[in-house]
Amino acid sequence: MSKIFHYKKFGILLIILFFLASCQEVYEPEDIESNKKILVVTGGITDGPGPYYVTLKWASTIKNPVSTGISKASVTIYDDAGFSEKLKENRDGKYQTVDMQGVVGRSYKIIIVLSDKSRYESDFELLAPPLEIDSVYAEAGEKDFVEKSYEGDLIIKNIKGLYVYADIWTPQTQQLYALFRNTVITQRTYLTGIGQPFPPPTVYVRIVRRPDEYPLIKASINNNGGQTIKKFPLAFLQYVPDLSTGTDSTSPYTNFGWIISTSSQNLSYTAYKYYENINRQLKADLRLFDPIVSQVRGNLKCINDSTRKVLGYFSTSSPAIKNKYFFWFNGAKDIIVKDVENPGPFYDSSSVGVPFDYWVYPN
Amino acid sequence: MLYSSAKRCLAFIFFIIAITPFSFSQNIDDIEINGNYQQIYLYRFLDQIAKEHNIKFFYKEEWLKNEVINYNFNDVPLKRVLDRITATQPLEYQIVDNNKVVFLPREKVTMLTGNRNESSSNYEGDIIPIGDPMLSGKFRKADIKGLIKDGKTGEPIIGANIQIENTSQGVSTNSDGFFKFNLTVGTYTLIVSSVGYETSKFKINLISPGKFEAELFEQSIKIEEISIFANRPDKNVRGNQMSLIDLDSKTIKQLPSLVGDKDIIKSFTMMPGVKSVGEFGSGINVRGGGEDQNLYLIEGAPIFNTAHVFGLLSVLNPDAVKNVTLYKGQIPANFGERVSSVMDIYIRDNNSKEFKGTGGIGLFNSRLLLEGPVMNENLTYKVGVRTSYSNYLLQQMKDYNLKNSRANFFDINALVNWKVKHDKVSVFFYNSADRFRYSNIQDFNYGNTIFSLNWNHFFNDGLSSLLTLAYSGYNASRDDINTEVEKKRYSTGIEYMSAKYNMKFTGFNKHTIDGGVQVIKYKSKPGTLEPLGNLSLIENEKISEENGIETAAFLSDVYDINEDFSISAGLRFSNYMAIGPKAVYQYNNDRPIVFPYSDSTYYGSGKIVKSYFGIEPRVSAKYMITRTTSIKASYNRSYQYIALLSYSALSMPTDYWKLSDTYMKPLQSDHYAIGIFRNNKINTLEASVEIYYKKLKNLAEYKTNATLEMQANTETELILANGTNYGIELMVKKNKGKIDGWISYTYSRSLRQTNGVYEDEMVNFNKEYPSAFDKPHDFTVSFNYHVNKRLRFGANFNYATGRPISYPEYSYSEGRNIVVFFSDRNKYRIPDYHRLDFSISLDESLRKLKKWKGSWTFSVLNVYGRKNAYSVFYKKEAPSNQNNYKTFTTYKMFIIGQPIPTLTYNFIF
Repeated sequence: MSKIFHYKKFGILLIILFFLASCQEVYEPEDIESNKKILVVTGGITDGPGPYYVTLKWASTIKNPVSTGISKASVTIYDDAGFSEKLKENRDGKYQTVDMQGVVGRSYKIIIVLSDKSRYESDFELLAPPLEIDSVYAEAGEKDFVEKSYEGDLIIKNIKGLYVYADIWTPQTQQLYALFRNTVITQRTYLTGIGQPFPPPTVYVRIVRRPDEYPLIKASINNNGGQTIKKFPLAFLQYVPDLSTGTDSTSPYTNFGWIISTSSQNLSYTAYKYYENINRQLKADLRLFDPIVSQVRGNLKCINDSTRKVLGYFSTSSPAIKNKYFFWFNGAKDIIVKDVENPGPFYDSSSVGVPFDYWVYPN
Repeated sequence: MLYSSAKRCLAFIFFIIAITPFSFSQNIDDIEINGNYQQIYLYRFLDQIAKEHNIKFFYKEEWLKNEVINYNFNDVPLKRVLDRITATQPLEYQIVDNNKVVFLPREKVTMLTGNRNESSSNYEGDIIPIGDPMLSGKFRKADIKGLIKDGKTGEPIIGANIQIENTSQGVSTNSDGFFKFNLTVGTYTLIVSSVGYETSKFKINLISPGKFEAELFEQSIKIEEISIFANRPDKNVRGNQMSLIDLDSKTIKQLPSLVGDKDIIKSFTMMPGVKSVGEFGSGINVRGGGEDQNLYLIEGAPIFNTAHVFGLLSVLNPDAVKNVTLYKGQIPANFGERVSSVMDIYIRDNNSKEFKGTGGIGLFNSRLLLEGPVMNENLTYKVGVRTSYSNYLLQQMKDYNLKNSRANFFDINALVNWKVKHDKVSVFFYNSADRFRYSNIQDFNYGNTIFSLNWNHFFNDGLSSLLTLAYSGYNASRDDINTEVEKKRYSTGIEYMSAKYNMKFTGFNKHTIDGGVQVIKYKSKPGTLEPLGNLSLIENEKISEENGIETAAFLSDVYDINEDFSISAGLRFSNYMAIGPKAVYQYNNDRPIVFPYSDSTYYGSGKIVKSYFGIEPRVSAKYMITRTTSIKASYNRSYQYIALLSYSALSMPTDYWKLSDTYMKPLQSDHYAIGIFRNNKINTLEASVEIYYKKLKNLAEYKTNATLEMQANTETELILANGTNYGIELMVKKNKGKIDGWISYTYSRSLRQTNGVYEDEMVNFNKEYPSAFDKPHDFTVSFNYHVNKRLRFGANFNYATGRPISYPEYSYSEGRNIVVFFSDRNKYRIPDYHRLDFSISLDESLRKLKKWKGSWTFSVLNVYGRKNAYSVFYKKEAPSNQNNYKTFTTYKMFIIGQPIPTLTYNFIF
């Protein structure tokens, strides 16, 4: 018995040795060439009120991710109706329109000329009508995630919460490409001044987060003579039990529901592929083997030198917004859902004693 | 019957010798006998002599029990005493090691065809007539067709050498153990030898065309050191074939192993011109070609994934394999389907004489193989299984990711042989299953199923045929299990069916003609997607299957013009048809082939979607410059109608096999090679230089940011590129002696170039760039030091240039994310690779009759703990003190980062 035990230990020792031996370590390739200046363009036009912004920057090197803005460039937006406007630079590398107004149904392009006379241009792209979400709804569920303990061990944690989904159906026959962007506002309250005269004042807290780890895109499928996107997962709203705020003078937090504000955009196929490539790169982080090599190119090209690279995307989009309120606690049978007209500003805020005008109550 | 009896006698000798290896005895030459021995039993006399002089006599009791002697000796040398005794008895004797005397009944000794003793290798047996005596004088020259078999198992011996004594003429046996000689009629002595067998001599009288058959027996005592290659000694110089590597099971046995089992396929990477992308990568790259450009044939059926556990081991049970031949350039016309190489793997013939078993116990896996006759020696079987037990070990880990990982495999192979007078039928079956799960992230399952039937028919001396029916299926799936709502299973696979009829005619003088036809049916399953679990929101999706039929007709002739000059000319005509049901999409001509398509055409089931024809000439020539030096040249054209679509050099089990269609044109290869081959006079040293140049057309390269998985419009993601591979391969090899081994160096390049009109269809703006397999310098030293007949030390060292890779060069913000921009494709290289392995092997007992024989191998891989990069990748991290406040950190992944000791026990019973 004792011998068997020793053999087993020996076997385990060897395999541990093997697996420990297969590992990874920091490696600094010395010869990486990143001395070229590569233009990165971000910005676009919508059918909302202007001004519209376009930012020009130089891509940063992989070893030193600090980018600098590009000044003194000529940036002009054209539409297919013959109208154009040269953007003015309002600060280092940031350019904005003055009068231009995006119109659904028109196509737009951008032309950029840098001080070295290099000229960059995008193709005309249609400003498509907004893509309305039919419904945003939630289902209670749970999620496992792995985190490191204080000792450095990886441990599984199980959290409860709501999975939020979106449904879209349109009668059009051509395939749709949707981009969703979410903002989640978590409403919480706690009592402050415990030990002070009764009743202690309630503090109303709004915590604003953008949960999308990468662009949420989806292509529609044929359904009922139209195009549909069904049960597209937008976000997971994590339920935090009533935990202490960490100070002796306050009561524990009380969950007061979530407001999720979802913007949906109707993308062109080119824009959809652009975001798809961005996603593949962002999701490749956990890959075991070679991550996928990607050179995510946008919709711009250098006209006077085709080998010169340009990054980023000049977008044309007409976003539709849907705001929903959800209230649920662990063990609750039902989820309370409400439409929200005004979700309030998208920054963290708190109010002592008096709730915000845009505070949403579950009942 | 004759050989079986002789074999038993030999076995007896070996047995008795083997059981007394360590006794200290007097030299027989020095022994003199004194005394009067009257009416004494012979065995008692021998006992007495043995005791007095500490020597051993071996005999069966029944041979001597009634023999009585009457002698008076006075200082008579023992040898003379023995001569006198055996002169009057029906016995013969042999002296072994100067201290052992073996008695044998005389009639059995005369039956023995081979020599039994190193010191008496000249067999002076009867002259064997070859041909019909009635035709005596009718022929000036005649063919001898022969078969050399293992006397113990009845298996044909591949690569046995048949040399005509006192001449330079010789041939070696082919994969079926056959050989052919064309000689002037007369008397000759044939010296028949093969690695691991005792050399035998046969006196023949060649009268007219006829047959010769002989059996060789294993060496009872390993008289000579084991050769590195089991070919005829000068096959590399005199053989017609170039760009060829042969490994037999005995050679493979001496190669290092990673986890106990010998990896037959990976073993080839130690040879010039054959490389692997990494220590843990599946498959091989031959002369700059992709992994999918190699045809791996097991008993005539192809295997589509050769790797267990992502490449830790190859799918072949080493115990089952008899011989592996890799054609890396001059591919005979009867092979097609792939452009870079053909690896022809033969399973050992079943033991037709007795039930036998072999096996091994390793760190990760164990294996067992059983074989024997079913009722008689005409019907035999072999069944081998291997399985791993790494799951149990992984579960002992503390680390969360490893504890939740799984890595296990299983494979089974079975071979049934049936031999009748002019026919041999073999049925082969193989099945493998692999699972590799990495934590709660991804779970891979994949497996091969192979079936083949080979029917060999011998019409007459000069004509034989081989019908091969083959099926091969490969299925793989990957479960993405990281996120509950996105849990999904992606599955892919391929099915292959083939019928091939091959005829070989050797009836014409100096010609070997080979011809036949082949039909192959492919069915590729590009991909299905299905949700896993109740919470998953993934929708079911299936990409339509692809069907194709490849037909081929081939004819070749090897013409030995004279002793010095031979040519080989072959032609293969292939035709491929992509078959419906299939939708073919059309795209506007004024822009690259990108989605969306402008129109589509649907082809119904069985309709021909697209057809391709290929004429594939295969020519080569050999000229003997001197008796030990030859120059050879070859040209090959070949077509390939199937490609494995992979994003990177490191192929994954779920990469999919794409068939040629309207847009995906067949891959075409033109391969030129020239080489000089030279041996020393006794063929113990070999040297060779080969130069090759290969032009490839229609290589499937993926577009930047291509999506290959679940892709119905593959044409929008691929670019057909051109390739240029060239190189020089140098090798010096020592076959015999205390130290044997080889040194090789290869300089090679593997380059690609697109010729797209639109930027979307260009890689690196149409500039030439290195392929993922471009590793210019490759240097290998491999040697064994044989301490004695059982104990040997081995070492292998390999240096290779790091493979090309693309690194991220720039980063920029996209919304709230920071993304990277990669360099031009394959602009950089991972660090150079080098590794030293060391092993000590104690081979199985030399005792022939020992029922259970075990052998041990202790090896240390990566002796100096080099952390060879398998891959280099980056990770995005939150800037902190720990990473020097960097957003991107580059890592190298290595598989074996420190010395890995392994201990393996193999056994035969």
